Amino acid sequence: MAHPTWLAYTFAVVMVAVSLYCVAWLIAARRRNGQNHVDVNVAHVAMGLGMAGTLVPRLNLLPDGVWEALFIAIALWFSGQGVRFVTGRVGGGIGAGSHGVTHYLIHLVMALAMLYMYLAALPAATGSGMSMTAPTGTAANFVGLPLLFVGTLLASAVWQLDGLSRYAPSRSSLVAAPAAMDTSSAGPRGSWEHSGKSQGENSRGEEPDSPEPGSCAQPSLAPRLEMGCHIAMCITMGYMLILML
Amino acid sequence: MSGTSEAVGTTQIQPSTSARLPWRPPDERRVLQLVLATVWLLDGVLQLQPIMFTRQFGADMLAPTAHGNPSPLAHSVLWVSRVISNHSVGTDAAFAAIQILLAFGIAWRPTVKAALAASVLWAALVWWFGEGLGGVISTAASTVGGAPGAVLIYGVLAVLLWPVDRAGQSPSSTAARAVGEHAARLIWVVLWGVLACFALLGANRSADGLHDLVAGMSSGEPPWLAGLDRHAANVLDHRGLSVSITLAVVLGIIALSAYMPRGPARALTAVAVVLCVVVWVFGQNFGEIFSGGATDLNTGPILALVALAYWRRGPEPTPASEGRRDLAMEAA
Repeated sequence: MAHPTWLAYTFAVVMVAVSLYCVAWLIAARRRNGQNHVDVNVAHVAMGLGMAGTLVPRLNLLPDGVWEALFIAIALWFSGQGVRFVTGRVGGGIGAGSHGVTHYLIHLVMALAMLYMYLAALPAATGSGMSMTAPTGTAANFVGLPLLFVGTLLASAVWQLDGLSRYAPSRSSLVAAPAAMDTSSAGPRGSWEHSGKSQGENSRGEEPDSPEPGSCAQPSLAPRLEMGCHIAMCITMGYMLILML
Repeated sequence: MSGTSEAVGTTQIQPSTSARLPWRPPDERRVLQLVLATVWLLDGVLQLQPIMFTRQFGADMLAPTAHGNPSPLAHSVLWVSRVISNHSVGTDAAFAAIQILLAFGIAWRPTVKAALAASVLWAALVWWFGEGLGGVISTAASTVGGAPGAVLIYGVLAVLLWPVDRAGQSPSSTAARAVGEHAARLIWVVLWGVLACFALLGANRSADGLHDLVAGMSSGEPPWLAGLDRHAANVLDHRGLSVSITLAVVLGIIALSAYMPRGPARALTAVAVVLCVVVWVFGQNFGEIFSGGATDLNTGPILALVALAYWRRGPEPTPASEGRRDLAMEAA
């Protein structure tokens, strides 16, 4: 079925913008010597340009085979990093300030989702419309897989949005009252106002972006924009996968 | 829009100079809110499917929900479906944007109250104009088919996940935190009791009602799912009445579990979740998401989410037991 071209262009423009931002991030990070998330931003550049080229074929920079090889390499990289993380945790070799395994897992899922889009879909002949269509034949029997990808990607987008809330300005800070300083003994609270610690919180109860003393982790460069890029990428990828269901 | 202070239910002051919210990792209720946000986001993205931008969305998907409803309701549904058909691109883009914004609003902590309230309003509008009240009045409602409408359950869930605490220090479940113990139990009994009643309505009582429902869903589905539908339909053939009665009895027992002790209540909540998954797969075909015309996931996963909100909590540790544990840790 014909798809609104303006929508494909909108998503493509967003993806190109995300890719350009990630390129700029990589340049800035290189100047600051050794930031975290270089692998993530390289992956975002590839995925953003790949999706833009899929949404608007005239923006496609590389042949499909090259993209497939690239996303296999990205998937292998994040698989390896995930395994290294898990084995490092078992041996106590990775500091508590490092990412959780979900960090590697979600980027692995993103790479596999990109790979699925290239392998399962039939490329359109030419034109400005989206080059992805619903899979046919054997691939049509595996539509459960993209649904799983969609669920994971959209959940990741929502999770990141929740994480972004830690940067929200607090209105109450403008009306400081000493009596309210003790937040641990205040009255009824909202859902995130409980004092227990869980997986996202480090041993000092600080936000996860603050590295543990002695760990090799560095604060991320522009974390809000990076999270925004991730959210945009997850939603665009989810949209494209839904078109393939 | 609710301010941050209102959303957390108390005045929060940062000891540091940083003007940020005191960060807490998501608790059980927040996780359920995030799942609800994910569902809204999925619905918003589903609204961007190509068919939704055509006249078919209004004419073939919305207008038929007027069938069998009383005249005022049917007329309002038909009027809205005509408007949507005539302005399909603009209205559909707006619907998608609203649902995506609802998801963003629930996921973004400072706006969670406003977004939940807006989601209740939106759910009510969609339930009326988009689903014809889920066929409840027209007696075409079927528990297996998705009555009383997924979007209505979204609204109920938004109320149950409202970020306030009314149930004191140790609420029995996440749902009870927002509305209190009595109201939470009442909502549970009404919801599952209504589902039990729908299982016995109209065509659901006939020998072939469920068979026809399941068999009719295989069209447009991928081969493996269509095959699954055919097998399920064969099993249900001429057994519609007995299966419907069994389903109604199970749903009725689940409804009564709100007044049972923690052990049986937990077991029946687990049964409810499993039942929701089975109905979602065999009776709703994953919300027909693979056939290219789904606007939501149907009731299966949302009802499961409601059931999880009612998962009975364990007993809160008493100060005495806490003291004993501390002493034991010191001794160790």
